[in-house]
Amino acid sequence: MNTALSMTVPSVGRRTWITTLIFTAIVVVLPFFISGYQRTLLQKGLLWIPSVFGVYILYSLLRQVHFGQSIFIGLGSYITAFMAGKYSVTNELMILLPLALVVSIVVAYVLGIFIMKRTGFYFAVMGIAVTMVFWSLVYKARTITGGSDGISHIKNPSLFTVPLSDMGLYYFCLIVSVGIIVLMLRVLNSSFSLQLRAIAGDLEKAESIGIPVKRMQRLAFTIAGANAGITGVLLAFSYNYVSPSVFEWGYGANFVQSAIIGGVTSFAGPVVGAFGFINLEFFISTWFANLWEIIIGLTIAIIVVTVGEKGVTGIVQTLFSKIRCK
Amino acid sequence: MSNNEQKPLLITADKLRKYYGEVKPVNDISLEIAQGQVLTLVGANGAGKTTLLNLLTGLIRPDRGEIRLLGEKITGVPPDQRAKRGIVKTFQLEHVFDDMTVFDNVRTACFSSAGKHYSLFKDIEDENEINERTGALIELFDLTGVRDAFVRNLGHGYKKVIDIAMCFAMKPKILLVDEPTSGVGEEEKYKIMDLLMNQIEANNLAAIIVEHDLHLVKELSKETIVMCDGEFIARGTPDHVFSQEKVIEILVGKGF
Ligand SMILES: Nc1ncnc2c1ncn2[C@@H]1O[C@H](COP(=O)(O)OP(=O)(O)OP(=O)(O)O)[C@@H](O)[C@H]1O
Ligand SMILES: [Mg+2]
Repeated sequence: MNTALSMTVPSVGRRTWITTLIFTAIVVVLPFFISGYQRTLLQKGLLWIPSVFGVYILYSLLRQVHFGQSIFIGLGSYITAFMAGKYSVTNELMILLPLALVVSIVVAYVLGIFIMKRTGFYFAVMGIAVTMVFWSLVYKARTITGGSDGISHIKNPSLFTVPLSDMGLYYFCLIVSVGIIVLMLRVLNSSFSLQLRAIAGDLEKAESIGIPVKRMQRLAFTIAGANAGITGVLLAFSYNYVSPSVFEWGYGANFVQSAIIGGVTSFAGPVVGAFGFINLEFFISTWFANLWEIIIGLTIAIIVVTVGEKGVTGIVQTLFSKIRCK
Repeated sequence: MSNNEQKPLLITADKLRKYYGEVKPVNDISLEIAQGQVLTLVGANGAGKTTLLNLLTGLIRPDRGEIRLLGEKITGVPPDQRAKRGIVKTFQLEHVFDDMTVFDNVRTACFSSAGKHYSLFKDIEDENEINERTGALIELFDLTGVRDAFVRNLGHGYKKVIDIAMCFAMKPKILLVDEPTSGVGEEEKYKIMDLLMNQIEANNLAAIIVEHDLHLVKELSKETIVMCDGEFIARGTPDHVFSQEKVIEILVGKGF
């Protein structure tokens, strides 16, 4: 099949798997060559990937812009903060991850029923609106959530009752992120994705050939939410601290911005986007402290105007093919 | 026609009604279609033909009335489930998936027809059964030459055929065909009609075909219905129907 001609949806082929392998190898060895602080940054980038992938799936397959990923990151983070911090119930990842997964799946499914009623502009706005509701609930429920102070002193996690060192947590995050990348790549190459593209292409026709449009849209939304829920748990452990700012809609917008930076025409987009955003944030805020928002805004504007959907990945690909032609 | 009465009833519509304010595109229409029965439906622009078909597929809900499929009430059943149960329609302005290849268009319908909506992790190229079936349909509808072409780059004629092929992928019991040849050149028109009629016959499908070309209508079916302002005003063999004065008046008078 000649999917290479497609302008919008590439197919996951051998090249994608090889790239994934190379990427994994790099992040496995990198911690030996960098400082502890840089490793934390790398860890944050790794943890962003699943969440950005959620945005990527909803955009590249369903053409919907998902601003609500922070809802699920927030849920995962606060579950962790309660269990491993405030109420000291457990810090076991093998309990917390499945718990966060179940909660985000249930919440995403229920929210999906409402949010997915609308598409396009209204879907995007609904995502923002629902995020704001969560934010104000967490902010106001001071006695339970600590309000704007958040919850600190989250214990370090343990895995199968073995306490994890910082390095151990890094590698656990790596395994989870790469695992999710692999799963998402499989999803992107499945008949499920083909039908989602059909829904985005022509909703009436999709319905008239028997595709259960609503249910499939909801499932896609749920997959995105589940990714973010898992990310939430590991982010809370990475910072040992959560605050209501994870529920701010601007935080959710970060993942949309990451997806734009990375580009939505290549599977590498979410990975490049997550790291790109975090590194931009790091370098800019160290060197030009106050200019962070302006510079990220300009970067995104330039990417959108010059290469549009292709993003940084698209620029790199174009450069490569030019070099090859010469 | 008398032998149709012996065949079991496929679809019964009872006093279907759909109004849009003052406009009454479907005004208390009752209709029975037997298995394997092929009807043509003619009428001036705005007579309500498309609206009637959309009521049957569930794309729009009637204000009143009832629809049954094989005796079972389906008035409230959503369109995707009706398609699975065998009521499938092509679109007047062809609806296809422009950003996909011809193969993927047909393949989407094959997956849907097989009820495979949620196989999340299986590589699409490993779905042998579906891929084979898609290939067979592509061949059947003479699309082999454009198999890997993107639909957006193809002409009207091709899009009509792809739309029809997707309908057949659904293994329909009744095919509702809304102007399969509108906007298509003379030569292509006959080719599309041939393909369509051959497949309808080969699968012993029931069909309602909306067609403006009266010469074609005469060749297509033994039975024609004439629709005007949301009502059936004549029904019978094309020759008989088209010789009636009121029919001539309507079809000519409304610039048919
Ligand atoms: N959604 C709608 N809202 C308002 N009026 C509508 C709507 N859909 C159809 N109509 C009106 O109902 C009437 C019947 O439309 P319909 O499309 O069923 O006619 P048709 O017989 O298929 O005509 P054509 O030959 O042009 O396809 C028209 O007057 C049309 O303007
Ligand atoms: Mg019409």
